[in-house]
Amino acid sequence: MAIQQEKLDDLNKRRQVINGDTEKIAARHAKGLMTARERISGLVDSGSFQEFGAHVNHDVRGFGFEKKSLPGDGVVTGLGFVDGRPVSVISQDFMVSGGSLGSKHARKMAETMNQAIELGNPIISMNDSGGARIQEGVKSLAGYGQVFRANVMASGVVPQIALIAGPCAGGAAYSPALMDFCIQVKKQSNMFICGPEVIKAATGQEAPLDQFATAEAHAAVSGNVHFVAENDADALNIIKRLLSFLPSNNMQDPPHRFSESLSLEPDAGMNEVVPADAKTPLDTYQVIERLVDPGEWFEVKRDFAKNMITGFARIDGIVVGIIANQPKFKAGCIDIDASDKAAEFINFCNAFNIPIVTLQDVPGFMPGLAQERGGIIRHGAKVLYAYANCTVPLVTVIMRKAYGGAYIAMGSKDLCADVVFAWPTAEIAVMGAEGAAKIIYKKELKEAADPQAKFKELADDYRNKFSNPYQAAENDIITDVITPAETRARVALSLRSLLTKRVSRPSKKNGLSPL
Amino acid sequence: MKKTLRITLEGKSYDVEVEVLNGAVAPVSVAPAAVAPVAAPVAAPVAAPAAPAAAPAGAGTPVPSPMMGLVFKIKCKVGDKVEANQEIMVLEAMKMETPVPAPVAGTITSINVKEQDSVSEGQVLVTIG
Repeated sequence: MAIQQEKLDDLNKRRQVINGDTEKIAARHAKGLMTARERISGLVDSGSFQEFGAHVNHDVRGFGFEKKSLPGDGVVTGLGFVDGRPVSVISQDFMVSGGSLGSKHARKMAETMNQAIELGNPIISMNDSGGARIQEGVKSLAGYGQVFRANVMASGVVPQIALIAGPCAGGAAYSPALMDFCIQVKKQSNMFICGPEVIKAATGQEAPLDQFATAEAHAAVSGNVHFVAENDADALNIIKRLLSFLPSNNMQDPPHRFSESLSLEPDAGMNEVVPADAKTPLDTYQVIERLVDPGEWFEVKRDFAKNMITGFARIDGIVVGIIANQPKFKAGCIDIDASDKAAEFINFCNAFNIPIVTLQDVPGFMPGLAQERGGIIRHGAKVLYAYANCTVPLVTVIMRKAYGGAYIAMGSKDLCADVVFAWPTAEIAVMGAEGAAKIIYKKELKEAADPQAKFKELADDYRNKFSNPYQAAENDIITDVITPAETRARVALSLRSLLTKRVSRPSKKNGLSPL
Repeated sequence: MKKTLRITLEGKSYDVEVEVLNGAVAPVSVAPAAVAPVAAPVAAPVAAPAAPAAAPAGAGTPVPSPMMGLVFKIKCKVGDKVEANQEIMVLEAMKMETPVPAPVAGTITSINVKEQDSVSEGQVLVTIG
């Protein structure tokens, strides 16, 4: 009385078809590419993937599609575990009709994301698709609408990570754009709205892909991509590392790893990092390296706006987002790109309960006609908005320069911070001594017998009075003045004390961040 | 009016037929000249027979200024061999010295500025060949 063998054989045969044509798989391997299924099995804990909708197929009529089978409708979706934590996964299958997006394909994607919202799972979406399935016409476009809507519904509820592992063109590029992090693989992938042919036809411009569509171009120039991967396997490692710093959803804390006792030993080496001459730039990476737990620094958008460093770290086990000026690049000025980079990262950290540590050494917003015409006002305002909007713990360290509006923007106490430390080298002032002396002592300078000598005297006087942290400390706009050597211990202790922070704000439909 | 021009590119000769229309130059056809011994590359339409690229002041990779500022110190000279990321110049801007690293390894083929010059963002400081 056992089950009919032919029923089992039939299911087995169907499963083989779904798993993909062995020749096509071999062809992908020959090109050094993983299949959609291999990307999933490479990401999730062994054997933990549960596929949803494997037997889905298209229902297109015409264009010879009646005879075609598109297993899964070109996308693999389901649930898995990464390091024991559940995730929702989408992986487009280029072997099935070029991964083209038909209505059922889109429905599977949207359903996976909507379920992820209910389950509180991070969403991992692996893009490898030629774009809309033209034979399905507007049904395909409607599908994109469902996907985008699901992305927006998930925004701020669960972390969303996009992998660009193949082509991602036209409307398809807007799903990764609506997600929180984008990883693009070198060589094998391109992402654009209009490709070289369309650009050429519409504008006459020659637009080689490596100037705007590759991983390198997006990471360094457009800022659309957060991480560059060497190949599929590297991309999966980046996703796993990223997930190791994130909570699964906005109701959870990030995965802190508290040590039993907090080390409050001073770190004399931090004093060595600070150059004696105020004009010699500090290398903020050296400060970060000494501040965070060994091996617990994961930089985000490393190649974009290098004057602003962003990344995840653990400080004495506590997961934090670090936002830091880098004076070695563009003197650490905040320009348009740096503003966007910082604001985006702050927003993410706040949405997912990740405390923020700001390292400040900023001479100002970037001067220049192009910056003003490009809208540095509205872009810089995003940083102010993002910081002031924060309800997570915020600790700021003013290392050296802290001038004008840029000082206020970079996590100052009056804008947002719970605790602000300043090093004795901090210069917290409205503007530099020379500029200030010219304005304040205009009359004296005019009447002086030797205006140059007088100017130097007055500028030095201003510098001695104001280019230090003590004016700010006297006025209670910073918490304390500490040595670089004390920094790690003081920041770690503050973070421990601030984790219970709760803020309630008036409810509103949505704030209106400048864009 | 049609003109035939011969272009030699990396040892291969191409005869290019050019038609002049109201002063504008339109591509007509590109065919490997009889002397071309090997298969021609895919015959992409050529907008116009390109003049040989004007030789720049220094050949190679231009190193643009990362920001506006003053040239504070030049730490290389023409003919120097440099490593990628080696500091080749220091700018001063916003009361801060900004190092300019070599983007690639190579030899300095030109230095286009001198100390105390004001430079704007994107201005070519040095070329590395």
